[in-house]
Amino acid sequence: MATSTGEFEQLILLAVMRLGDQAYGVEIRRLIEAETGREISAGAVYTALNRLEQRGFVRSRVGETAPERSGQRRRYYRVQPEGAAALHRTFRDVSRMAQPVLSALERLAQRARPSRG
Amino acid sequence: MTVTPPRLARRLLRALLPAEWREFVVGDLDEGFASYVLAQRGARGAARWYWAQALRTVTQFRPPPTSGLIPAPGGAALGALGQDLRFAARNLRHTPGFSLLAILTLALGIGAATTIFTTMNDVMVRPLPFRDPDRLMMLWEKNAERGWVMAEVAPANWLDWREGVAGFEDIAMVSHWVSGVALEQPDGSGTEIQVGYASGNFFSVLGVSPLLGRSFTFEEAWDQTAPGVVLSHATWRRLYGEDPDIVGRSVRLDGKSYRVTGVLPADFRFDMTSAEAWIPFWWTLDNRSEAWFRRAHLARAVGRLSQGVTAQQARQQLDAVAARLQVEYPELNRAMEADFEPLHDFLVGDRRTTLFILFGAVGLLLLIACSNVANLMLVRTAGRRRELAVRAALGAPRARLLRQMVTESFVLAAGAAVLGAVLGTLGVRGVAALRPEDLGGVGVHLDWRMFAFALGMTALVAALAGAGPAWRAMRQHPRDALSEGGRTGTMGRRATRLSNTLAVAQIALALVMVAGAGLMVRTIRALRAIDPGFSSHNVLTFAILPPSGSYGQDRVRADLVERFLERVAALPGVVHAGAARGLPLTQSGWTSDFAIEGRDREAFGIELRHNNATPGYFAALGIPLLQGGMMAERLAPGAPVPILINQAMADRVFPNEDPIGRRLANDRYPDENSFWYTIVGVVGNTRRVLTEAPDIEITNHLRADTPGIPSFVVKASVDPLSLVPMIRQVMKEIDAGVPVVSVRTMEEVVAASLARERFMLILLSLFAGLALLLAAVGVYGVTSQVARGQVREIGIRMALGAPSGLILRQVLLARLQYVVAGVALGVAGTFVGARLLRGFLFGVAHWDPPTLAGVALLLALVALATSYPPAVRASRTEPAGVLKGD
Repeated sequence: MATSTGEFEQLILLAVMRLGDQAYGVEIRRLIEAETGREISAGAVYTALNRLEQRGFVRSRVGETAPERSGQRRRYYRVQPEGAAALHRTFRDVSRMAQPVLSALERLAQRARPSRG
Repeated sequence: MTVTPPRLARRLLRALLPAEWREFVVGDLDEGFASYVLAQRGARGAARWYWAQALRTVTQFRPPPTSGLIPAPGGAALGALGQDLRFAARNLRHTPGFSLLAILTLALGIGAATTIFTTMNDVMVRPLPFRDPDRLMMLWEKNAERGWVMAEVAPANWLDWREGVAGFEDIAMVSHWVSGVALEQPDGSGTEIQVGYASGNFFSVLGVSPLLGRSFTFEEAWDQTAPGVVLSHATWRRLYGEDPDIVGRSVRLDGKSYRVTGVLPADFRFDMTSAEAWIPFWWTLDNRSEAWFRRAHLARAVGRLSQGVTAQQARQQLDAVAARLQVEYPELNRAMEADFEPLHDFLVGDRRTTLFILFGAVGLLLLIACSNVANLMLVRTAGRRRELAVRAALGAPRARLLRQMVTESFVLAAGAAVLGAVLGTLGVRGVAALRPEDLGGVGVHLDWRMFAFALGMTALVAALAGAGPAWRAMRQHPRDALSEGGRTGTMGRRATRLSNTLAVAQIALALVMVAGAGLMVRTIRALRAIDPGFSSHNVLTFAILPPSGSYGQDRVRADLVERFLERVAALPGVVHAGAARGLPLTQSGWTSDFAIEGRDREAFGIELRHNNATPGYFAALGIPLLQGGMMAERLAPGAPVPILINQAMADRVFPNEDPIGRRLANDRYPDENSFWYTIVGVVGNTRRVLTEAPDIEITNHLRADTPGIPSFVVKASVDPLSLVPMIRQVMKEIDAGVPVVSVRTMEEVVAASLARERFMLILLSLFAGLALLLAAVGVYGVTSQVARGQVREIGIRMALGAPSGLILRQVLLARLQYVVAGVALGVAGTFVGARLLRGFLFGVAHWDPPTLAGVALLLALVALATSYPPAVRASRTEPAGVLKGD
């Protein structure tokens, strides 16, 4: 089973960690959208969550409903140690690799066309 | 006012998401919509957002297989099956029209096929219930000069074969007819029982052991002083309440004492006769030296091949014996040869054609039913193509989706199985009730293997037709599925082509069936148009069974007949009453050579049919006297014995002469012992077989020679059946021990003579009606589907100004090519298929142009009529509605 994670999955894992008890679809998507400025679909969020759950990185539980959900329940997620380890390893590797070039990276990126994300 | 998410987008989402994820995903979108998106973007912006989310979600969501998450050891497959079944049932409930149609179609196919297969199996395939039945042979005589094939055997020849042909273990003789005789009841009254005659070794040749007692032996069957009788199981039950002590008891049959030697097992049947009891033939060993014993070809011979002997070897031996007999008896055995074939083939004989036709018809019906269900499944799967494509794209395992489609087919098949079993059971009973005598012993119990076969075949077709398109749909890119099918989810091009082909095939197959039924209708009409030579209106016929114990003497018997006839004629409501040995349209009477006084011999092979009657017989049946005079009511002793000849004989034997007064003998070489009859009159022809030209026939007075027991005919001025109680009462007063039997109206006799054709007509009409119905359903389905597929095109054209009349015409014209193709194929198929029917047709060719033209027109009209409603619907397309949908 793969232990590395893709970029989108990393965003999801980070969102789940930050949201704590409130980590369910709407909030996860909203947080990522707010922090990154990208619009993402519920389908993509759940596909990623599914993959992560299958790999044991997150675990889910079925929670309560809310008036605006017309009776449909929420599904809450929590990051598991395996997920945290994978995420940690990725960041460690990236930051080790990036440390020497961080300032050069920043200068070069500012010359790029603004992208929509 | 609360703003809610766009309903359509939400419904689409719910429909396309896997059930286990629907709740959370849709709930999140709903919550997001209400909690912040609405506030940020406004009502329109939020709706656009929801649509975008919904579409991106259905295309991006790929849940992993759920079964991997929670392993359920051992129960996983079963749980999935239950889920599939529930899923299938739910889907089918959602489309009750489709489900009912599919189940009904399948059930009709299964029911009809099982009915006919059961009948066929019973009559043709099932081995005879005898020991080692493959070694049993039916032997017959043949004579090229007399035009005999498979003729009955003369007892003397049978005995010579039996002794001279070592290739046969033993050869038995058996009557291929039954005689109704009176069986004396404990209270002294008589009841009719049908007896068959057998040589003593008959049951041992067949290898049948009686249930109780034993059958008679070869030797004791010759002894007419103490004859035995073997009862059928049904008779033992009906008349003796399965009395276990019946063996050894004495019963009075035909006024004569018989000892019950045994009771046959329940499954015994010998298809040539429906005998209720078996008694030895009436002859003794003394007869062997008499000429009649070699002249009377009166019964059938059944032999068992010896172990290790081939049919070829046995045939050579039989030929040798027959050749020797030709030399030894040059007169009696002139040109007489012998041959045999397996008993089973012989018994199946003519029925083969009947059953092959029915088999063909029901096969066609099954094909139509299958293609119809295939079509229904195609249409249905096409309607769900988008769903399937999207579900597959979202990661639903294909095997599972396929399994779901197949499960649906099987749920349909299960429903059809129940209904089909009911229809099949009714069908088998119906066939058994309808079947003409010559179809033989047909069982009345559904053959479950046959049922399983028909069920399996239709279910397989349904499954393939469901799974095929589903498979393709799932392999498609969801983008294509979403765009090609458009909003309505119609069939792809290949599915449409297949669907059209099936519709063409259905039209063609239905046409063949309807043509078959049409030919039978024409046949029955032609048969009804034949003048049988008599009037059946208000005519009753019946017989009596005087036991030969008390009425053994001809004179005593003739007196009884005369007394009875006189009193019946005097009953109120009786216009004419008469008696004859042979009635028209029944297989009775005997034939002989003859000679006309003062003439050269007639050509060999022209035989004369004999009948005996009273003058009242001609009056009662309205048979005209054409020339000369009627015979007198009573014969004058010592005077010349008068006979009547029929028109056919007058034309054939006396083409340019006056037959009245000419004398005739029943011998080819008259000598001083020959008896001469005098022709007194010419009467109209009556037919013995409706479709055959009348035989040349003479009618002698009932009293003139020693006839058996006559049939009576009564012309009534009232409903003839209302006379029956009075007639029975008359006989009871004369002699209560003589039963009145075989009471029928002459109209029933006529109907019975058409039984074979009517049987074919009823079954073919039934099948043809079903075929037509199924084909109509099929054509309707395809047209609707095709029209739905064109709805955008039509909408655009109508928006551009095309009048709806033009659209209607064009849709119908587009269908016409398939209708024409189907009709043309069907006509061609009829040319080939109806050849099978030729043996049943009368007065009409199997390629009868009016029938074919009528049937082709009918099919074309039905096909166009069923295309009409969908075409009208298409022509009423609202352009705005269609284009908005894009």
